[in-house]
Formats: sequence, structure tokens, C-alpha cells
Amino acid sequence: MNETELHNVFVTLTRNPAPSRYGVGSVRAASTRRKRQKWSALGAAVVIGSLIAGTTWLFNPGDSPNPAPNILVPFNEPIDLEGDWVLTTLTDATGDKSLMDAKKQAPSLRFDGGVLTGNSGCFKIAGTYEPPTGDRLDLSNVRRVPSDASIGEDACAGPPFDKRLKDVRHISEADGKLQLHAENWMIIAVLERADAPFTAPAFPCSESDRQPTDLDVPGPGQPTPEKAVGPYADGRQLVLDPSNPNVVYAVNADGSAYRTFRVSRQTDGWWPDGYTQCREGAARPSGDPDPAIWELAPGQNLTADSTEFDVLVTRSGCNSGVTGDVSEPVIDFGTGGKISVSFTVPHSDGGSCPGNDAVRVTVRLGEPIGYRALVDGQCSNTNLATTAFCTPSRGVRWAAQ
Amino acid sequence: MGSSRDSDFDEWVLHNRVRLQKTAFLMCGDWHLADDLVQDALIKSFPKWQRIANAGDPAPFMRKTLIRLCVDHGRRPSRREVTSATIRETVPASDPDFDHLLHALQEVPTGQRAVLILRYFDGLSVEETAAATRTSVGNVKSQSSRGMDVLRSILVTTPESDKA
Repeated sequence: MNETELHNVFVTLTRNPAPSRYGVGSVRAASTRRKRQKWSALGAAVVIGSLIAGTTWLFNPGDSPNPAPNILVPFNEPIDLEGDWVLTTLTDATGDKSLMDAKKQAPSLRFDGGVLTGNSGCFKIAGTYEPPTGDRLDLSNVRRVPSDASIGEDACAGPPFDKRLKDVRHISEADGKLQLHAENWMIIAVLERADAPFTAPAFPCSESDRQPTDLDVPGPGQPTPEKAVGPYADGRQLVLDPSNPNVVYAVNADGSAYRTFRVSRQTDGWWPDGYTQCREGAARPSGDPDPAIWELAPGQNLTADSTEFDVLVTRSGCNSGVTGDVSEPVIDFGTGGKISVSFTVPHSDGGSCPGNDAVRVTVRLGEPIGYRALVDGQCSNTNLATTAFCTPSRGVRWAAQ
Repeated sequence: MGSSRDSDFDEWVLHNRVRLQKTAFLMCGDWHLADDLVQDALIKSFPKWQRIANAGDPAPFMRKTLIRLCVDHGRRPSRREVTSATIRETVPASDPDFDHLLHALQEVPTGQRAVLILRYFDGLSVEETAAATRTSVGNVKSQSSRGMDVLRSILVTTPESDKA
């Protein structure tokens, strides 16, 4: 046997490689896990070392003649699951990739403050989950929604969506895609974040208090709409309307509209045609009520059969400690496995902020809660969504266990 | 920066995983084990990927890491082959020639096998093979020669009738 023959032998032996059971994202996730384990072991070693040495200064840094070392543990940012995802790939137990039958509806999942809902395209699924710790995520209690359980598996092409999700134990993220893995890191599903529906920023003034201004600017045109309106946005953040390329919003820090620009595309690029903004000194419309947030009143034992419950409603803005008269609840049964309940209170021009009083209100749904989550509808308000009232639960006040 | 590193890494893995798997398979004779070893090599390399990529072609580093993992794996007491009184159930061989060649290759001592695979499968020069196996050029030449002799002797001493 010479060298060429040996090369041919090697080529023959490796002619049919077995497909890898690992995804690229699993490398990153496993690397992070190992790093974490290493730092945990180091931390444990430091603690054990201090105990053996009879020192307590690690636990009481103030008593130490020397400052205690600041041990920084480089944990990676947790993966943000919350929100809507669209399923792009689902594998069966052997790792073969396939897509679900998307004839009726695109397969999707929504992670919403511990409540998971989804649609396979053929049937709905629901379940709960604990927020992921590192790369661990357990979806073992995901199940088909009872009303859809009668649909046979034959009705859907591809592997059974709900059964595959039950095997999920790890998650990883690669290029903005979410990968769900089995215990052995085999990829079960790949998800892409669904685009959130665009909501145009609202002006903080009534329509009659808005003033349009035409722009007659020197050329040339700019390569993008943002660059065209940039000099007239007074440093505000710019937001594009994905459905209308001829409108650009300049928004204030509180999310309200500062100016709405009209732009047009000419042969040499984008030109600003004009904008609309609130008149100088225009007041917020007095008729608009203020939002109020709520929480379940203590001492209640809600079940899926409950049809009413008591809540404590509090004005979210400053008003010298007074919540005021609470509106009737606005109840939206909507879709997606949740019931949205919203309250408002009369408009206030502000006041000191000692914390407003809580007003007890009874909410009557008129039907059982079922396996749906109770959500504070004001948490979908852009001004409140990122406040402590709505995070990290995203406004979920109760979910069936 | 992290995302750029991630996408570079992802792309490299996408294009080179199978090649690494094949090298590992020739070293260990098992596709699943080869897959695990490649995964281990990738996990070890990921944290220092930026440095590896900045130094040029990542392939030599990856090959070196992989070969070391394969050799280390063979050294682990729990992984060594043990004799057994019973015959274990195996997947039926679809190609006797294939099994025969694979078995013969696994009979070659690990160090010599690594040199043969790197030189005649991965196409590395003597110098590159020496760097990958962290030995001298002379050692690579002697290991290569001895490995070929061992392989020839195994293939010659095995009668054709035994293959079936």
C-alpha cells in the first residue's frame, strides 16, 4: 500500500459521515455553561479556603483590615424569551428537520411571564414555564388545549408539535434565532422573533392643537428617510413606520410623538416635505384619563372555575397620594390564552409622589377564567411596559398552575 | 464584537464540522464518538475564537485540539477497550471491506494513526503534521513510516477469506 492508496482508503472510510447531533448554538451555550461552572468552582474554593483559614472577613468585608476582593462572575446575559416567536424548523426524534403544516396558521409560540401559548397551525397548545436559568428551560408541562385535543395527529404534517416541545430542556440563541434543545442538546426547534405590530407614537395634544409645517430645504436628497429628517428632529429618536416609508416619527423620551415627518423619494434620494407637531404650550387633552395598575387583592384562592375576583387598583402617576375614582374594568378576552383587564382614573396634571392609595374593585368576568392568565392591560401601554409595575411578569397577575 | 465573533465562528463551523468529524472518525472509528469529540474541540475553541481567527486559518488549531482530544480519549481508563466473554450485539456490517479497513486502521498505534491521518487524509506537510501533533519533524517521518508498515502488515496477514 502506498500513500495514494492510503488516501483512497481514508476517503472510502469517510464517505458516509453521520449527521451531527449538535447545533452551532449548542457550542456557545455549552461553552458558557463550562465557564460558569469554572467560576462557581472558583467561588466555592474561595469560600472553603476562607473557612479552613478561619477567616470571616469574606463574609464581613467591613471588618477586614483590607477590602475584600471583588469577585466578578462573568455570567452572560440571560436569553430574553418573552414575546412572540415564529417556528421555522422542527425536528423529529431522529433529528430530521421538517416544518409544521402551516396551511391554517403559521406555527407560533408566545412566552408571556411564565405562560406559554402557541399554535401549531392545526391545534393550540398551552402551558407554564419557569423563567430560564442560564441555558435551562423546561417545557415538560406543555399540553394541547383541551378544545383542540380531538384533532387527530394525522391532521397535521410533521412531528407532533406539543410532544416535541415537552422534551425541551435547554435553549440557546444564534443570530437572533432561538434554538430549543433536548437534554442531549439535540435541536428540537428553531424560532424567529415575530415582528411586533407597529403602533404609531401618539401626540401628547389634541388634534386641534397640532400644527403642520412645510419644509423647503436645499438639496441634494439623502440616502435614507432618517438622514433626510435628522436635521429637523431636534435630536429626538427617529422611528420608521414599516408599512409606510413616507412617514418618520421623532419621539420624545416618554414615547410620545414630537414631530411626524412626511418624506418623499425623488430621483436623487429622500427629501423631507414637512412635519406636524403640537403647538407651543398646547396642553394634553383633559378628557384623556390616566392609566391605573392593579394587583389581586390578598386572601383569594382563584381557580380555573373562578368567574370574579377582587383587585387593588392604584393610579400609576404622581397625584399626591390619591388614586381617585376608578373606571369600570375594560376586559378583553382576546386570544393567546390570556384575559386583559385594564383600569383608568381621571386625568391629573400631577402632584407629589408619596405613593397613591389602593382602591378595591370587584372584577366580574361573566365566564370562568379557565386556563388563561390574568393580565394588566395597562402593561401593554408603552409608557408603563418597562416600569416595575409590569416587569418582570409583563403584567401577568395570575396564571393557572 | 461578540456577535461578529459568533457569526464568524458559526460560519466556520458550518463549513468545517464535517471535515473535522471525518478526521475524528478515522482516529476513533465511531461516528457518534467523533461527533462528541468535535463538539468538545469546538467548545474548547469558542472562548478564544477571536484570537484563533486573528492568527489566520483556524483549521490547524482546531485539528491540533481535535487530535489531542482523540488521543486523550483513548488514554482514559474508562474508555479503553476491554475483553469480554460475551459477544456484544453490533450493527450488522453492510460492507465487509469497510469494516476490515476500519478495523485495520484502529489497530495502528494512536500516535502513528494520527500522523497517517493528518498527512494522507488532511493533506498536511511533514512540518504541519509535526506542529499539529507537537512532535519533531523527524518523529513525524518515523511515525509515518512505522504506521504504514503496521497497516500493511495487518492488511497482508489478514486472509481475504476472513473478510467475509
